[in-house]
Amino acid sequence: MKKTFSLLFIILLAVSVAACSNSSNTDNRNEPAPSDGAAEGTPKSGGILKFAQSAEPTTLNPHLYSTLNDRNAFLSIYNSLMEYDPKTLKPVPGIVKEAKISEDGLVYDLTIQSGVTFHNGRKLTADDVKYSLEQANAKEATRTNVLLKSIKDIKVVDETHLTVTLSNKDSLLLDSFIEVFVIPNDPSVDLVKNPVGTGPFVFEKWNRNEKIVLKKNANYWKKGLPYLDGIEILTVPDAEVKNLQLINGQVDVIDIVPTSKVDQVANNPSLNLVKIEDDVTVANHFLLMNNSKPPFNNVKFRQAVNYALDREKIKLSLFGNFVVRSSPVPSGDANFNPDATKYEKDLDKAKQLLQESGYNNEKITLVYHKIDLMYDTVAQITEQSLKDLGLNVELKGVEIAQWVESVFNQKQYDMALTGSTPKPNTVDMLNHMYGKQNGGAIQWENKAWSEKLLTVSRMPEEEGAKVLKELQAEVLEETPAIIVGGLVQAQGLSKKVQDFIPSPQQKMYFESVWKK
Amino acid sequence: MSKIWKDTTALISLIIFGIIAALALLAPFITPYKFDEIVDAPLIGSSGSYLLGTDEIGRDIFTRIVYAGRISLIVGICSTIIAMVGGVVLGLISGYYGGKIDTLISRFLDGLLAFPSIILALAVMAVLGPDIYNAMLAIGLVSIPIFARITRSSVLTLKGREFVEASHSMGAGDARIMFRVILPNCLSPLLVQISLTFASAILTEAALSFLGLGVQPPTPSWGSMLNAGRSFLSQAPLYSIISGGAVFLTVLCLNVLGDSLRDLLDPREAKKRA
Amino acid sequence: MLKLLLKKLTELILVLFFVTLIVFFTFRLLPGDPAQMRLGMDPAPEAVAALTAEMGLDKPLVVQYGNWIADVVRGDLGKSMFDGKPVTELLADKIPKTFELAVLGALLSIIIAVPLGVMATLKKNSWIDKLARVFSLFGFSVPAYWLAVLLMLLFAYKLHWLPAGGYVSFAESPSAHIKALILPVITVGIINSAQIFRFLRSGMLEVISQDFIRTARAKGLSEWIVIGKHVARNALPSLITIVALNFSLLLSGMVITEQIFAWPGLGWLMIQSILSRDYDVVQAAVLISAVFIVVINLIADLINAMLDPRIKYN
Repeated sequence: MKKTFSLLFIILLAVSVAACSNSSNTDNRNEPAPSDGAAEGTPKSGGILKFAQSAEPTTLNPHLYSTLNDRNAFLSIYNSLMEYDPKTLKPVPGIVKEAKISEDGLVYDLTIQSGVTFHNGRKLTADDVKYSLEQANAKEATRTNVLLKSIKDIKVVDETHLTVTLSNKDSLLLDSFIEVFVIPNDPSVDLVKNPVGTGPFVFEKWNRNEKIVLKKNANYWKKGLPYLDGIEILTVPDAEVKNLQLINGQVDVIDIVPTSKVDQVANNPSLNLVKIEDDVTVANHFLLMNNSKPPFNNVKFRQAVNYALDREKIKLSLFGNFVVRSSPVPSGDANFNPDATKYEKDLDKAKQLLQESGYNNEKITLVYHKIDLMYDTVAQITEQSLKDLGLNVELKGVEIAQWVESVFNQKQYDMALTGSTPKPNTVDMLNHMYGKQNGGAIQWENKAWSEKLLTVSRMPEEEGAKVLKELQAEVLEETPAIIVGGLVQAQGLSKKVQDFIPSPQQKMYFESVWKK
Repeated sequence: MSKIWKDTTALISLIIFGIIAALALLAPFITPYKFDEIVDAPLIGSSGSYLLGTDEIGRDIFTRIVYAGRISLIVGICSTIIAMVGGVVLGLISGYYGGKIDTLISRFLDGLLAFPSIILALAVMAVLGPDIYNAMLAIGLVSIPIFARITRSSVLTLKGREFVEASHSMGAGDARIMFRVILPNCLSPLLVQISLTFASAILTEAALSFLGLGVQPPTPSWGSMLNAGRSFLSQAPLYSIISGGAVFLTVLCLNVLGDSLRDLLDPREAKKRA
Repeated sequence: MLKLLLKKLTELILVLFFVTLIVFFTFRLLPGDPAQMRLGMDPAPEAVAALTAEMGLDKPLVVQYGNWIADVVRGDLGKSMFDGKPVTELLADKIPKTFELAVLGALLSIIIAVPLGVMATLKKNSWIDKLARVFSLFGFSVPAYWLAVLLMLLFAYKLHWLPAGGYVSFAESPSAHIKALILPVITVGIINSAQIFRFLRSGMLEVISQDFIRTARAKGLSEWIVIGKHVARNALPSLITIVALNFSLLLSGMVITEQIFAWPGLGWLMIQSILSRDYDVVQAAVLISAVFIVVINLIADLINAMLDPRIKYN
């Protein structure tokens, strides 16, 4: 029986962790460039890294996970088909050593790394890669199957070669491969109970609510790595306690520094703070509206809500850890459209629009989840803004499981708040928020827009950029859902932790990390 | 000497509780702001304009503490009534009819009592969904057994008494005997229990809100304020100290009052204690 | 004695029956379809139906209840939806941790409450009696979560003497283990000791007011001997009952204490699995704790009966 508890990927974000900007950027304000660590000496082996995160993972199965805590827990156990170059954010070889793409862009010849073994001693073959792709494309794998829709057929050629045939061109396929983790095609392996991968660390044990213990993979195929002897992943639900544990040196890395403690951690001489730059933050505080019913099916109503939001106040209450913006595309993105509608607070205009929309004091419930205090803050200020606008609104805070059930599964809700992190490419930024990727929870029926967005990956770059700008302008005018603002979270690290490379997707990679 | 000491404590408790109740009752007239009004920057320390400072999103903590008292008292009163009505009816039936009915009811109540009360309340809230009415219901439900037990044991001692027998022979029905004859005679232990249940209801409500399953924001509750304040322990320790302190003070007063009520109503017991 | 045991056991079975009923039906009512939740977002209706059938959720509730009881009796408590571990394994890991905290908390509370209780009774209305009563009122009224926060504020934030939470196993580091224990044990112990003190004091005062004590005093025995020999012997049964009864209150208080201090025991597991709808785990954890309380009460009753033949049960 499958032990999945697949919630959704959006949640993922919710429990999210900070990521750093492209590390090629120049000096960031209170954060050390990730390369700082490297300057401090040559890597040295040994030591156990203690990483504390806010919630207990729900599963270690890399194809059925739901939250960022899950991913952080299993990330070190597996390898993915492709990996990100932390500087360019372009895909670079992982388990897939080489990908040859046919001229029409429909056939991918993949060569996989040789000499890779799973933790149980089994040799990695092309068959395992095929199996992993199939698992990632299965119905239950809601995190990944949307990304792999274009795959038509997978054929194993020999032990180290396979071909993937697409039904349509997909220039983002190799990007998507970064999300595909390699598991053995071995029925005796139960990934839920005892995960087996090819990654830098070997799963040892999982004591619920206490810790997950990973040991160094002595036969890791990337020679010389990893440096650490092991990782302990601890669950500390109380943000304040977790932060104190970092300060006291009980743990080496924490996933979220509470917004009110960011300065404190940044100024602590024994700690490093890693935080994404505002103009490239892709994560959003996201306000969903149920477009299938009134008053949300009225564009004037939606615009009124967007104009009413007091984003500056949210930023103040989150101690500055928030980006004031109404577009899902950060201003630092190459495809950002500066001319698209900007929703700056304008209560008179909002009230005018509300009146034109014919809103008749219908009762509206705003449902949010309480994974972090940050969401409480955003929800309460949003509620205030809506009340100021004149809406009859009521807040309802629920557990994440219930939130997912009512918003994503049953789509029975009026308005809902969450956090959401797309992948760092413009297509996904738009698709993630307004397209089908949210399980169609906003129920915005605009086929032309969605289809056009999905064709962008088949276009030449320049044309793609132009279309993306048009699509941004259109969707922001329509505003079927609202970007409350950019979601900023900081990670805290002990200065002992060296060479930690932050990921734009908030992935905690410890492969090449070492301890002083 | 001790009596005076005791009475003074009771008097002080009564006065403090009276002040808390009055503040709650008159909240809209006393508080300088609205409880959900964002008046300034977050986490400002206490000052002339904000007696206890502002909370994590810039609302006046004093205003919210006072309003939260309102919520606590309302939830406390209503859930105590639910517990009392449910418990008294079950206890009367159980004690009056005896036999199989008594066995079933008593064992069922034993079953309920075997659960940690917070877990039971939490489960009921999870089933019903978090809001103020469900909180009253959940807290009321978990306090039923104790009322039922007290009523039952009073009924058992009263059942054989002459005046009960007398109304029987005068042809009074069961319901009449239970509610009109027996019930008035077991009021004093119930009164004591009311004050104690009131206290524990306030504790449980705060616990539920602390875990996020009580009253929903922006409506303030001492429990949820304590929980929020916990995230700012180093910057604004006063925030959680005051929120939890309000629960403590209220419960303390009610417990002291319960004790003196017991002494007042049950002189035998009082003599033993004094 | 045997008759009493038999009677108590039949009572126990009836209580346990109600306990299982309450557990089963309360948690069956939790919103959210377990089959759908396992399948994640937008599952096909057929898949939901198939899994519902596989999990036996399409059968009448009575049948489901019967199946569950049969499984429980066979020792099969189901599996966690999260890590796929059998619930029995999970409980075997959590129960000792909760037990450690509970027993140490109970011990601490006895260490505090018994001397206080004896002294308060001996020197009734002295300053020590008054102080003890103030302490007991404090412990009786203070919310566990607030006490925990205050202790944390003082010992972890201000003084930096103790960790603010977390669990380290004894095998890994005995000193860190003990340090991590201190604050939760104090929280649980203070609250529990107030309750024990209260009952103990009134129990002992009742004994003292009885005739044989007056006789003993009249015989000119010293107060200490009276207390040590007569009062203690007669008050012991009530102490046992109190400690046993308090165990249920103790567990109640520990639920939140464990969560605040990130102590990976049964209480935290219960809260977490209620909130995340991990049905099998909640049902099993709540059932186990209820059964435990019922049984410990029974044992207390029996010990009482042995120590004090005057106690009759009707």
